[in-house]
Amino acid sequence: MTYKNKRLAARIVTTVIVGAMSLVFVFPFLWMISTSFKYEIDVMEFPVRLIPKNWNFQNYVTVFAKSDFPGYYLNSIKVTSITILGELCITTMAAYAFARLNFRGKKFLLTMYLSTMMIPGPVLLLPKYIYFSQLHLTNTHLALILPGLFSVFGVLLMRQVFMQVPFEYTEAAYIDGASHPAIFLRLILPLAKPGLMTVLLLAFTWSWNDYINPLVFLSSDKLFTITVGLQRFQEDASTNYALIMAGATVSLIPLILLFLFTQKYFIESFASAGVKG
Amino acid sequence: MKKRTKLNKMQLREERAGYGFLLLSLTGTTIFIVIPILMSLLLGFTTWNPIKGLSGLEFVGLENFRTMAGDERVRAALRNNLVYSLSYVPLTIAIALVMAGLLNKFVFCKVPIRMMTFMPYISSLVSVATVWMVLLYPDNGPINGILSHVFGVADPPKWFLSSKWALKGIIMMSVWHDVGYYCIILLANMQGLSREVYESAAVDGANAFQTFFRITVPMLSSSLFFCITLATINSFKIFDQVNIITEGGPGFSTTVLVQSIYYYAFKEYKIGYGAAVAILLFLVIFMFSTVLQKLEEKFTY
Repeated sequence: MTYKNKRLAARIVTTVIVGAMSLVFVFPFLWMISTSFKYEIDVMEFPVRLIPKNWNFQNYVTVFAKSDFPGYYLNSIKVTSITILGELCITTMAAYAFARLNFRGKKFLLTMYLSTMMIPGPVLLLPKYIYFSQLHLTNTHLALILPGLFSVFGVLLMRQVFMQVPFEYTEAAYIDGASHPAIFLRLILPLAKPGLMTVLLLAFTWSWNDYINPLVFLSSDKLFTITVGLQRFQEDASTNYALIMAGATVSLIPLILLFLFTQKYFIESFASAGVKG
Repeated sequence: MKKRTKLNKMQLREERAGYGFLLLSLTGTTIFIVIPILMSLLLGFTTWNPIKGLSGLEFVGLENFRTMAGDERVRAALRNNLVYSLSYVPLTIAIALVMAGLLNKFVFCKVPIRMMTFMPYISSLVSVATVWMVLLYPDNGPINGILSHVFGVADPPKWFLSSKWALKGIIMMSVWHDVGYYCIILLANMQGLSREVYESAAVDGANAFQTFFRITVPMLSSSLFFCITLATINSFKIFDQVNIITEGGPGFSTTVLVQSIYYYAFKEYKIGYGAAVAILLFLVIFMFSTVLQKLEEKFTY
């Protein structure tokens, strides 16, 4: 065998190995989707069938028409969109101050921001609960949205992005008499679009998938977001596994679709960010 | 000339803009992060039942921590957290490293494969934990079906129903969920390594294994340490999958610290005691990250 053929053979073999490994990662998803179209009696059949023998669409009718899922969806969409839009405004503004402006106390404040990153999130849960119970904000969406607006991680990430914009650009505009808000809106933000996309995708994923905060702060079904909603749905469906899988599929669809269409951005965002707040 | 008081007009304008831009974020961060951190520290030394309102707050000194030393739930949680982290982190990083190494070099269809491995990570733990719960269903669930019919395991594990296997099931599920993430971080760093070293290794006749273990891994040591530290810190915060699948059971076999905080604070309404467990969680994470940092200084390339 020539060297070239040998390399090709090696390449095919490793592709097969890695491909088989990656099947392990998608198998639960495939099984979930296929089970959601099965009759309950076929769920635990063996050998495992990924294409149902008898198709059953009733599970989805139940999820969309006879359960609270549509409401959970709306709640998640509401909470997530308000949180990430607000977060984007607030964090980019703060990041602009840290990256491009000089003011007294900047070093101290930056150190303060950085050191809060060391505190694990669950530690903040109880004080937040005290706040919101004193303000009678428990069991409202505000209890999820308000703390979500202030992401230290988002500020530090955007600061890195803004620092990469050459200072000559903004200095020229400044000398021409542009104000700081104008420079921020017209120069920095448009130049930082990929960075903004990163913050948006990360914020969306974390807010959409958040479980512990809705679990602690929400008590009425009507306000539930997708994660706690799915848990409730699963408790109600008890051992109707085909139905539970339909619920799980529905809960995953938005993120998976977003991921499939923007996977390059998505993967780069998570690779560059490195930390979960 | 006094520097502090005599800022020129332009500097003054910049300073005002700086505070203006920072105002919202600083207010929110102070209210929702800085003050809560301080409050948590104080709360750990109190007992408080929220039903009684703020008047129910009482300082008890170190009592919470003394109670904790003999608390079976907290001790089990600490033990489970350690077992979880010490198996989850090496497994996740090792698999991620191998996959990244393979993906970096001789593979077709890189993009779809990378996508497939990353898919679990973006999916909510609640949803995938629900799926795994059914996948690992002990009586004729699909995975036990494969184990007994294909691999001939006579007595497949009872997974989440057995106190011996429940934590292993959680570890397996978590590794599955997170491998893709560490894989892409390592892969991104591998792609940044200089080509020349590889070329000279190839000239010297090094095979793929030698190149991987003697060149790639040492050159990656700082990003490997980054991944290990990150995975360790995050592993101590495990909660979602445990609360969905087992709620800490059977017995205390899968209880973890965050779940104990949740249990004490919101099931038993012992907010002060819950806060004390939260302080323990912080101390454990702090200790591990300090040790890892020391190790990193010693061992990185």
